[in-house]
Amino acid sequence: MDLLSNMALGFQTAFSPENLAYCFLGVFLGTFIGVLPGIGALAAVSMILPVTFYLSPTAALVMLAGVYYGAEYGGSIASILLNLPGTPSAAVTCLDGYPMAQQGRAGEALFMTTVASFVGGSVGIVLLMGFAPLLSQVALAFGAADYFAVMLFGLLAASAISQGTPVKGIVMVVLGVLIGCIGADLETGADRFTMGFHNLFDGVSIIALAMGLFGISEIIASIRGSQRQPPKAITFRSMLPRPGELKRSILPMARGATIGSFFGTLPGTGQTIAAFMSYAVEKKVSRTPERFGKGAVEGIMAPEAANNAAAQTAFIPTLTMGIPGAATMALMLGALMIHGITPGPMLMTSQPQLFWGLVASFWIGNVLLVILNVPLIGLWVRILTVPYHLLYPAILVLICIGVYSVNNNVFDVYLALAFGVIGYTMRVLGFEPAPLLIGFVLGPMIEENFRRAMLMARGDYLSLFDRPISATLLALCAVLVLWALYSAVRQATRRPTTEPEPAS
Amino acid sequence: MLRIDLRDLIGGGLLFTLGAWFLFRSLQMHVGTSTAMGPGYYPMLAAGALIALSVIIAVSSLFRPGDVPEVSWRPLVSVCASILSFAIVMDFLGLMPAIVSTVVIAALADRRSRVLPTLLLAAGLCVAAYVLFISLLGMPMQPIKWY
Repeated sequence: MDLLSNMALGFQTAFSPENLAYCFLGVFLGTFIGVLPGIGALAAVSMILPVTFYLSPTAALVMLAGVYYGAEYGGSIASILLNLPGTPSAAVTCLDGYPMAQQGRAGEALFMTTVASFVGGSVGIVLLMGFAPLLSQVALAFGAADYFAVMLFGLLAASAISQGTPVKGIVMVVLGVLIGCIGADLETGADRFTMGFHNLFDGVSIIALAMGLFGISEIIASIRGSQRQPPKAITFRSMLPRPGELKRSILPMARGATIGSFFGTLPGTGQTIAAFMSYAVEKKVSRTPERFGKGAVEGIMAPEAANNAAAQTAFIPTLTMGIPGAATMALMLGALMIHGITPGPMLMTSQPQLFWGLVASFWIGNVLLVILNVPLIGLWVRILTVPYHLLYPAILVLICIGVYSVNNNVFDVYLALAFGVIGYTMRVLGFEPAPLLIGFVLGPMIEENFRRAMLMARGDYLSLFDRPISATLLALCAVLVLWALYSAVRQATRRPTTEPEPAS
Repeated sequence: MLRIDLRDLIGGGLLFTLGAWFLFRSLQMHVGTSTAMGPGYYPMLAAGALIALSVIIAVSSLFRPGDVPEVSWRPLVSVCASILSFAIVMDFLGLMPAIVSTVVIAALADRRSRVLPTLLLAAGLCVAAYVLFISLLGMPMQPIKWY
């Protein structure tokens, strides 16, 4: 079996002392940062990214991936105990997790989310192992036009399916593409939009961008609303679920994992949408939908399974085609490229120990998370008792040092500050920053493939429709754009309902 | 509630301005043709799309009511000032003074901050940063610059 020998190689790589240590460190730090309210997985990954420059590529990726799914895991703890989602995708967990905590079932809710996360994550990894090799075979046949079409589709899907109105998502993607244009032109080396700053000649630093948009602006937004009650201690005994509770959760978990895997694989759509979708589905299939929002176990099991399944399957397009499955994946791609590795269909054959080592580390990381979350839950609860006004100055210092250390230059700190102000402005005006990051990473790749495709077709735009793959995807892009415009027009003409903004 | 969606109107306006700037700058570069694209071709397309979308957002905002944008000025100003102070102090005095000024200015954002805990936090972070970043990771940063 090919898969067996590959997994053997993977576990061999992942069980090396170095990688094992960084996997643990990543999962631990990720859970730690994820537990902190207001700081999500994106901010966590961008904070750890500069540190990984000092590691080997495999260790760097293993650690970053650990931070990523660790933060997703940790996010649910703050949601259940304090009704403060640590990550946007954990906002769904608040809906039923916090009522459970109020009924004194916090321990049970935490245990159940751990189970659901583990099951969802495992389903996602199995799919990743099965589909990634197949997809990378398909992707080998891709030409420049096909890449252009896939990436364009990913961009539009990212924006159209995100929360809020599709047009606002698309406009953020386009802004990200333009920010990605800043710096020297790929082919001619011409200076683009640098405004005379020679530090911008190599392009905008992805770390400064991500720290500004997600770290700094999240801190500014969460300082005001940080008044809260310290949570009660959780005993191990209180975590044991009621009899029959686990058995009744099998179907919700299965549905959640299926929905999550699907949305994770779609380029550009992430866990948030998967979690919201599976909650909606659970409520629809339930015979007692009135229990939802009042502490229904299904209401936390299904979204948590979906969320973690999506976190794993998002690696499929990222590693096989070099197209980020979610905004966090855009940062992973950035990390790969900084280490001089070109993500794409060749990655699996040219760097098998990196790919399979990473997959094996997902298994190890998932087991580590269960170990970290069940016996060590008291530690995470204690972190939540540290007052926020002592936490955020420390986080700010970490952000500043992290941004500074990339180039040992204060220019990037100023840049991060500028993006922090931009990100906060976007937040106030109701624009989402995640599509911007996807546009920023995909923009230059799209330009490269677009120019190559046009060069080969002698500038004939219609040639993009000659190949079946690109023609199909471009048709889907057109559908997405038309749908976005239609919903914008419909929203403008219809009398709107005054629905409250989801807390971010 | 407002009669128009002020948030989208402001957002659309800001994005339009940005788009116009990007379009203007890309047209100043060599644009080229679709066969041989110059550096300005692709940004020109993207800037055009940004302008079109921002117009849609701004115009549609006039026909529906929306929420008043809420800015928390105190955290915004003090967090920005603290990052700015990090950049300036880092350049002239080194890492530890930069950490102290960042923490102290950032603490002003929250009314619950007290003098002594803030200073203790700053001191603790100085030690932690020195051990972690300079001793362990070997990042080339000066703890304090002596002139």
